[in-house]
Amino acid sequence: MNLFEEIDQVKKELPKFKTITKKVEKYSFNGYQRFAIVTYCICFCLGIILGNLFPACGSSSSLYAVECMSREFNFSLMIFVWFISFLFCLFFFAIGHIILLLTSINDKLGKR
Amino acid sequence: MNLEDQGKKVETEWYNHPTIVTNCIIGLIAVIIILSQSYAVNHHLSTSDIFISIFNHNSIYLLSLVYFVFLKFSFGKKYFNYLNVFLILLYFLIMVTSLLTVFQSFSLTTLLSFAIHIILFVYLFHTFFRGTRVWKEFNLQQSPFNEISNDGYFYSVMILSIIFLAVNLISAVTFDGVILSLLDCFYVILFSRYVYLYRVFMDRKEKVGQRENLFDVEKVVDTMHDVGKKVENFVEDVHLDQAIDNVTEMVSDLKEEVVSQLSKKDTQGIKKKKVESQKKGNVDKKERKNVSSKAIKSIKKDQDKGGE
Repeated sequence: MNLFEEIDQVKKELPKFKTITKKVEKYSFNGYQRFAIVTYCICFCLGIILGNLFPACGSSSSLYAVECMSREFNFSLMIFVWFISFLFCLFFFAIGHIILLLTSINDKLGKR
Repeated sequence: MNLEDQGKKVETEWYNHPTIVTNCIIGLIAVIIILSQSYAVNHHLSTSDIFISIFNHNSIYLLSLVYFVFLKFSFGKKYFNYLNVFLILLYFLIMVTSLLTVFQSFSLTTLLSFAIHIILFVYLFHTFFRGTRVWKEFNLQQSPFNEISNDGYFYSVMILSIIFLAVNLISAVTFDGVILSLLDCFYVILFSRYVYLYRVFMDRKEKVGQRENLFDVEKVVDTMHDVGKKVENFVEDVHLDQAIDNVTEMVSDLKEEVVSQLSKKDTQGIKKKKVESQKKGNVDKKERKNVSSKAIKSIKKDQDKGGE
């Protein structure tokens, strides 16, 4: 059987855009989560700036030469900064989520 | 190379078989990464150069390798659409970075690189989102880039990558750079071939779907035709036309009888009414006579009483 035929039989459909937006709208962020989101946005821009500041050698033909023929945007550095900032912000986002869960449990216990 | 005309002979050539193409891409990426690292060690490059340049050159290949390796497993096949979203995002970032590179160092190589990446991004976007909810929700069928044929996209990428290879070979200083440039060109052509094969598969799937829909309509027409023939045969067998004629005759006879009876009843009714009216008239006359005679008698009595 063709690879694409196998995939066509098994593949899962993408979620609707409206369901994603509805889920995001329903979720309420607390202080820690907002801090994490803002920090990630700043790190996102920082990654782009660093990629531009530290360019890499662009042409494959002069990759091992003494002088590089053309410099290009450092894509790998940008991805690296994004990945590290994502892990850092995810940590703070998780702390905020735990605090949210604890406050909701406290509220429910208080009502009883 | 027109796959649609070849029909069942598509899967015989290696460049028309998706599994072989994906295997070649995985092998080629592995060779590129290993060779680039070995060349870096041979040329005694510093760690900073390796991390900045070599890793930057190989990062795209590493991420593409993740995509193609996942395709080999059932997990990747199940979440194929999600992997495609990841690939499209990756090539969008590559397109943006190549645009920034054009501003950073304007040259023929950067312009060609930008052109290849922008065409690849548009090609990926209009191929991998076919048949998905994104295609329907955002009405991508009406996109002007959808009108460009599959062959147009593939051959434009191939020609641009060959020109890019030629420019790279002209500016090549080391033999290692020549090998890497060739391998890069092969990767771009194989990758665009993979996208081409997927679009051919999707076009074939759409055609089969349209044929099935047409077949349903034809089936309905055939069944209606069969039903009509069966009805005609039934009518002939049962001599239904004669029965219908008999029924119509009986109905017309009944109608005439009813009409005649109604008319008879009417005439009888009229006669009765006449007789009754005559009788009434006679009775009335008698009553009038009695009343008038009584009145005359009473008047006479009054007159006699008055005379006396």
